[in-house]
Amino acid sequence: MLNTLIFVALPYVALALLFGVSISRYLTNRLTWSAYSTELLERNLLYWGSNPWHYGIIPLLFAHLIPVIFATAVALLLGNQATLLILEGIALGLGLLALLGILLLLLRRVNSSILKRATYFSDWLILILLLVQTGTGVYMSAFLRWGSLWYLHAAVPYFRSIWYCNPQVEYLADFPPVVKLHVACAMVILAVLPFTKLVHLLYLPIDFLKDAPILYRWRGGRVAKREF
Amino acid sequence: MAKIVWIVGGGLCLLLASAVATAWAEEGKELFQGKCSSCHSIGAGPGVGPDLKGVTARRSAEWLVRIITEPNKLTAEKDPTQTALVKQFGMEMPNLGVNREDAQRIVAFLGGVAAPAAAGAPEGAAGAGSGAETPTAAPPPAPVVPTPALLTKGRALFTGAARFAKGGAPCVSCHRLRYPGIEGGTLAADLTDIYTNMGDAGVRGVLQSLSFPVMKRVYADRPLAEGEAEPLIALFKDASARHAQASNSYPFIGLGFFVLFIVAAIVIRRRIR
Amino acid sequence: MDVRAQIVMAFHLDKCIGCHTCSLACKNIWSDRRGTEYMWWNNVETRPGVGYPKRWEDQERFRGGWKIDGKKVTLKSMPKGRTLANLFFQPNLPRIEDYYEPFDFDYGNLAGAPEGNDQPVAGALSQVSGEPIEQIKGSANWDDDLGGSTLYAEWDPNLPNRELVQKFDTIFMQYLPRICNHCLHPSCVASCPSRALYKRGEDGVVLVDQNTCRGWRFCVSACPYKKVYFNWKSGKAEKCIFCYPRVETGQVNACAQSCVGRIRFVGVVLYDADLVEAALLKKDAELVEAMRGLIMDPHDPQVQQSAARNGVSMQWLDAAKNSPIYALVKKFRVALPLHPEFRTLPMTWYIPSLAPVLSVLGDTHRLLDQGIIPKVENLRVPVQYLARLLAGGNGAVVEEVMQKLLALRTFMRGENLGKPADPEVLSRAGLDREAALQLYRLFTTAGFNERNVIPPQQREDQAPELRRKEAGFGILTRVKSERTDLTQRGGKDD
Repeated sequence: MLNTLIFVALPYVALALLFGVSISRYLTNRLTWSAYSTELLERNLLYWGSNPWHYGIIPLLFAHLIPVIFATAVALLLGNQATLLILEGIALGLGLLALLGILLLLLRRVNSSILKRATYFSDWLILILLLVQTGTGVYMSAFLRWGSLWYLHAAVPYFRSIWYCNPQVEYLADFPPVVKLHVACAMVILAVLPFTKLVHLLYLPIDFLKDAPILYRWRGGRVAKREF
Repeated sequence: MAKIVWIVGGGLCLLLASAVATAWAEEGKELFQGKCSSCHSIGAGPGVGPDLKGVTARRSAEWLVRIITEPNKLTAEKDPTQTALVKQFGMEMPNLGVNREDAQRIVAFLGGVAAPAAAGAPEGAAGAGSGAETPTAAPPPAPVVPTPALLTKGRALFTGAARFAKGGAPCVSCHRLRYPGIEGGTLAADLTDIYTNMGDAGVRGVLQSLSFPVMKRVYADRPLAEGEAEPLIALFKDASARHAQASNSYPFIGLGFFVLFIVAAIVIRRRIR
Repeated sequence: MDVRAQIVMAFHLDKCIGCHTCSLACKNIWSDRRGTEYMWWNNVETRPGVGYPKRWEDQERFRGGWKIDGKKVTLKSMPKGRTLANLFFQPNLPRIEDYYEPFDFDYGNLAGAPEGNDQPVAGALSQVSGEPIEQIKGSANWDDDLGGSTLYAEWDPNLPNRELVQKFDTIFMQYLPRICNHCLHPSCVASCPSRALYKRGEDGVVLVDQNTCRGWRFCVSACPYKKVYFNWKSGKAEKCIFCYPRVETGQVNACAQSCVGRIRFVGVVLYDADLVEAALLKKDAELVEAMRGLIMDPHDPQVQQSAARNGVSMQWLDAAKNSPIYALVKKFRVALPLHPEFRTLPMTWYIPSLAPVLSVLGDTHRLLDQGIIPKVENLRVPVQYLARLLAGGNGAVVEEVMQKLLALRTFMRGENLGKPADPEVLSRAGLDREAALQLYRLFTTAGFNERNVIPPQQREDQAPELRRKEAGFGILTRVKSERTDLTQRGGKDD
């Protein structure tokens, strides 16, 4: 029952919300699409929160995505014990880094009075969800190794079964509760993502890299970029 | 009048019950061969687990259902029989995720099959899924003798350096094995002593069915191929003989990287004021 | 030749009395919302002083503007690639303390305090956190009129010599009102990873597209004038919009409209975008001249043709011909850009202040050869100070302007007193009688429509389909989506 909830109902609800709400928010309410930085108000702790968090979590996010797409290549890569050890070591290091970051980001909101009115329920919600997510992740990495391998052989086929609309709950049903919590929390994060400031991660600012620096816009839609 | 109804009803019920029991036993047989026979024999002596011949006479049906469905709880409750069995066989019977009804079917089979199984060949070993008729058909394969070639292949298969032909997960994903050159996972049991505990036939049986929690789904579509069990058995045999020291450098590597990242952050912080 | 129009503001600093009416007019219209309390799109600074945000001119700290990098200019803050690495924490972003923590007062306490022995007071409350503020530490003009401490004046990065402001016989003071410069080469636009900032092709106003802005904050640090602000409530950047809703309807900017001293001029100039690249690479000292060189003569038929090709209407050309800015910047050469060495080519121009029109105390502090008007070298305000502020350190440029302003004073003083001054006074400064009278009129009696020449924007001509069905009788239907219409139109335009 619980397994069906976590591994069947939750993913589809989360995906529906993620795509549906994100698209509708993008089309109708881009005015609130922002990272809602508070660096202006508080920056001493932010350096130790935001940087470790983002530099820790972004590679880990990719580490979760790549095996889903390139399963065979990853299996070959991880077959080497030394590679596995180094990669898992880096991942654990990054996980600890992200955990430190998210803890500091949470403490920062708790402690700084100047951030009081710049903090909303959704900020607390995602901070706590991300803390749980990172905490369980680090726990699994440290005590239920090798996550990279069993993720590849149990979670990846499960994700594929989700994608093909034929959810195979058995892949993950017998894992320890901490793993289930990690999966459930991930789904909840995906579900709340479009409602919170986390939407900022759906927009990767890379267009400007190839653009000329100065942007002109004319009424009537003409746009020009000039080098100068 | 009422009496007649009772008698007829009772008779019908009995009839129905016996028919159901027969049908259950039939299904139970299939379940036994799929899930249990890799470790348990009926009348061929103890393998990885005890010989189940006449087990229904020794234990209550309710207890048997419980040990099949929730062996971990039984251990947790310090059930004396279970404690003794764990001590005797060196491991707790794994929870194979059998539901209560199926467990009852298996027990029904164990209760009903006692006689025909005894009549069959007593040397029937733990050959899993060997025949639909009785678990007695194939002769036991000869014990594996570890050779350097087998050990190398076994280690490659265990760590994933050589992939299983059908794409199954390498053992190292979840299992530890105290063996030089192997840093195993910690999600599941330590396999260092598996050979000592289960013996050749037991390990072979386990490798053939792999019907443990998590594993049963992962290997369902991708079982071990022909000739992949022997190198692993050889490896397990060697490992249990060597009893090497566990190396556990992993957490330190992780911590090392963490410290490295923090140092980098401090350096950058100084540079940007 | 690629002639474009730019709407420009000029300030006659001698007339600024530092009353902050412009700032309040601006704030009341644009920045009285949550998250914008600390922003002053228009602010007035006392010079010498630290300004707002404090020491904004110190680009070693804030790293705004551009730097010459071999044969081209690049952002001083960081190359593009590093932008991505600094998304999560912006090393050069000012803190709220660099501006100030905005505050309000607990007026309710005055009437609502419980009965007691003490007079109730209205304590300060932070407008960011709502918490009481024990001690207010600053505001946008905490250093007004050299008040509070000599430290503020000493911290002015342009001051050639700290001792100048420590002694009463050398101290000087003037005001510097600032808005966004709507630069020709805006570093804020170049720094935006989302490409939310843009320069309007028609009038050169630099704007932040609030729908595209994602709050990465690079524009805030890239602007060397610190005139892009981060709204902590909406999570987006905001800046001076040159009151475009007013200017588009023929009204002048709120700050200019409300200016008590009538120090502001608003008008159109035509500039050649093809010359910008070369101008950027000039040495600091040559930048003022290069910027003057960008501005084209609207009477030149070639310029008019090129402008017409770029869609500049006849009315805009007329406005450019009558532009007070063209007269001040190009014809009389008395207006200078603020910190041209930041290389954003700022398009607000300042007629430097001579204030106080007093010579330094001592031997020279007596009636001098031009009546009571001292010579440039005897003025209290050091040429070098103004040169650092308005001419990229080139004292000669500033001196030329000051000579003109002093000659104008001497000349007009003579005219008004019926004792005509030596005619040489004007010619030595590069002026003639006609020019002097024209400048005098602009500086004194010029009416509203002479000081502010704002052409109509003709939105209805430029994109009629955007306006269709938006007004009038009948069933109002909004045009489906601006964007689809824009793209359809785009092809025809090009």
